[in-house]
Amino acid sequence: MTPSRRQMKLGLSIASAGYHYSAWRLPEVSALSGMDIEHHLRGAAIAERGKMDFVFMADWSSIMNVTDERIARDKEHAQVKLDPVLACAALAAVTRDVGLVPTASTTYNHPYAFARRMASIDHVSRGRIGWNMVTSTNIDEAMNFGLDGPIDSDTRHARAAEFVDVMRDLWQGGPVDHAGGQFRIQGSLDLPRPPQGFLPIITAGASVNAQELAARSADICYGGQPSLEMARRYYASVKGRLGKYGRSEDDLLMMPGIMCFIGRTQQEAQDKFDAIQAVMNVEVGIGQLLLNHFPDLTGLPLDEPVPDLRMRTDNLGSARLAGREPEMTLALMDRAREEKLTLRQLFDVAMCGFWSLGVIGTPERIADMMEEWFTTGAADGFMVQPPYMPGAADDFVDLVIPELQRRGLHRTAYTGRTLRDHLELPRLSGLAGAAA
Amino acid sequence: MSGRMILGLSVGGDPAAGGFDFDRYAAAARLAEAAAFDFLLLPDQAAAQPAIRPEPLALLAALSVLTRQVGLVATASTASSHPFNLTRSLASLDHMSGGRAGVALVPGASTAEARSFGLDPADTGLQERAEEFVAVMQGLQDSWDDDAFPRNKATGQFWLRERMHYLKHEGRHFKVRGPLDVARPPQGHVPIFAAADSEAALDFAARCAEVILGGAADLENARAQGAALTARLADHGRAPQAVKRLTRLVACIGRSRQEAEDQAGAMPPPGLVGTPADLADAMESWRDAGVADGFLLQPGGGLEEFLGLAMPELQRRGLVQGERGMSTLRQRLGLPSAASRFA
Repeated sequence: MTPSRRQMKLGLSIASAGYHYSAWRLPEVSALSGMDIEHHLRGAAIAERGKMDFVFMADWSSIMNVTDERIARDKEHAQVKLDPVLACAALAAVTRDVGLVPTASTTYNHPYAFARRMASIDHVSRGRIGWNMVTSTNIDEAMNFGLDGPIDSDTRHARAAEFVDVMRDLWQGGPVDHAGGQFRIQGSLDLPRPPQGFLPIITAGASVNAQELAARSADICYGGQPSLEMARRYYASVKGRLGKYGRSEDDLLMMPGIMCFIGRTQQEAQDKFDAIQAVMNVEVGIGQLLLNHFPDLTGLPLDEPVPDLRMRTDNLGSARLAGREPEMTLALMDRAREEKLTLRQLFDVAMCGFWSLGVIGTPERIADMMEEWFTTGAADGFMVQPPYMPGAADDFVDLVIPELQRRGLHRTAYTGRTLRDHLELPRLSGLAGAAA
Repeated sequence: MSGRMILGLSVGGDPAAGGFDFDRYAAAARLAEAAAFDFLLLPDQAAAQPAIRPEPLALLAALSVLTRQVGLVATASTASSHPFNLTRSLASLDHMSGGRAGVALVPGASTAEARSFGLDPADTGLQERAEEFVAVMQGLQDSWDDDAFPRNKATGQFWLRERMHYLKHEGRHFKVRGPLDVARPPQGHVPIFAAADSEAALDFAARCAEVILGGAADLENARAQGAALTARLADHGRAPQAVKRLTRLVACIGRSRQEAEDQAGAMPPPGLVGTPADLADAMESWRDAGVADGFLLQPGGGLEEFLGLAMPELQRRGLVQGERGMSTLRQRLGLPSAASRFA
């Protein structure tokens, strides 16, 4: 039966013990999660139970900020991980319906090798693999691949565009005879065409280059905006670029991130948030603020209003993360000043709803928020970022998804077989470089 | 050669189907595990036309959650990979499989591979690159001590800085700072396999490999190869017992020799064409001659038929020595544990 309402697309991010930096310290969370394939299998099972479109795995090939001891990565869980492409290959063997979307960099991979690996997994999964394409901005990753710093934005994005075009030519069957700015490739994959033809591609990023790449080459644009207003602006900005590539508004799905603490009552939700904040190391909180251009707040008392804060610009270049816009930091500094936030309260705001949508509430409240974004030009779906695993993912599937289903916003059963089916993407149209 | 015989199974592209059917690979892996093979090896060259060349690590990652004991050995090229990426993939597979990963490294580049990656197959630097590649791989696998991860919920300490090591490699081909963002593999170092079927390959194998794959037409040839390998090992300061030597045996097995010959058709030598008893005889004589620690069997025809016909005879003759209580590939191969350079 064709649904009467437009359906939200939902991804579940499962790669680590959770999006909250101290999730691993909760008694019920396995600290091994990121290195444990069983954890990922459980995450995929949760997503399938909720009839979600795909599971998602973030990635970067380094321990970020490893040389800066103030950033306290040694107290976090997400830096040490499994190769997500291979983890998704494993998930392919034991899941049936849910899509599988690992992250991989166009800067540090070769398109022939990557196209071959992904096509193979598309066969194993019978058409359920997608790819979150990143161009890599962190210096620690660059230094693992022989560079002293990340490549400039224009070159990175040009390489990414060429990378995608070559991969699509290879997936179509080839043989390919490509001599471009970055790659010389001749030959074919020696595989039958992947079931999906063109594998779905996600990309993210706030910069103009990133938005152009999304408009040109992606099926999904992932983002992080903490407010409805910012999300609408981003949505309009990215979608407004589609026309020049011969694509329509429906050809690209905007999926901002959402992090939820969910309770049957507001107090229950708040209690879950307070519990995880209570186990967070002060050093981790201070390190995260530093990464977002705050000054070093080490030594300040936790329960007194912070002093007047000014943005740090001295190491903006190296510490800056893609998508972390200074306007969010400035807004938080203004708020700290106006509301006389204590350091502890600053941590609370920073850990939920700082750089993407964060909600502490009941399923109804969360569904209301999601529906408002979905119906007023801020989102075509959401990337669910569980603050801790598996509990927060279970909560989302058990409490929020039924509410979305009740409203006709989310499927009650899988009807398609492939990830392209779930996302309702056309097979071979509306893509730059595609044959008709 | 003392100790148990090592038995591997080469699972190439099945020339029959013309499609990519993962279920057949899964079935083959389960059969191999039930038959007590020590490892599966996924080669990387096109087996037949139309060629079906699944990417080995993706396929093995998928098989890792469907198996529990059999080793999983991927073929990979040092010419077209980056060592950080390959090490990351292998370390991940090792964790995912509970210590069953292995890698068969190919130092050169075939013509097709060179074209796919824009390389020059005649590039003499490929050999040097291969050796440096292995140095980076081993160094990255030593990034974390075994006890680097207290994951202490009470104190909030997840890992310890003093048990994490930067590699800071700077060589002619690679500059890699590290650390690897994967915890130390269960096996310490994922065992390296290499073929010794050319002069350049022999040198690379003698320097860098722990399991050497040889193939010879007859015992005399095999003895000569073995002596050459021992001499080359000595050149690189390694004892003869530092490596395990496996004989690669392509086998077309039938219920009768005629049936086997019909199946083999125009299969290129070396290879054995005969009955299960012929195969067992050959393996026994090679074993008794002391030229091999074990075998890598490559079915000339369909894998299920091969296993169904050959395994009962091999088991009957005591040529398959499944071992309980061995959890890692390294243990199955009888290789020493791999100490960290920082231990």
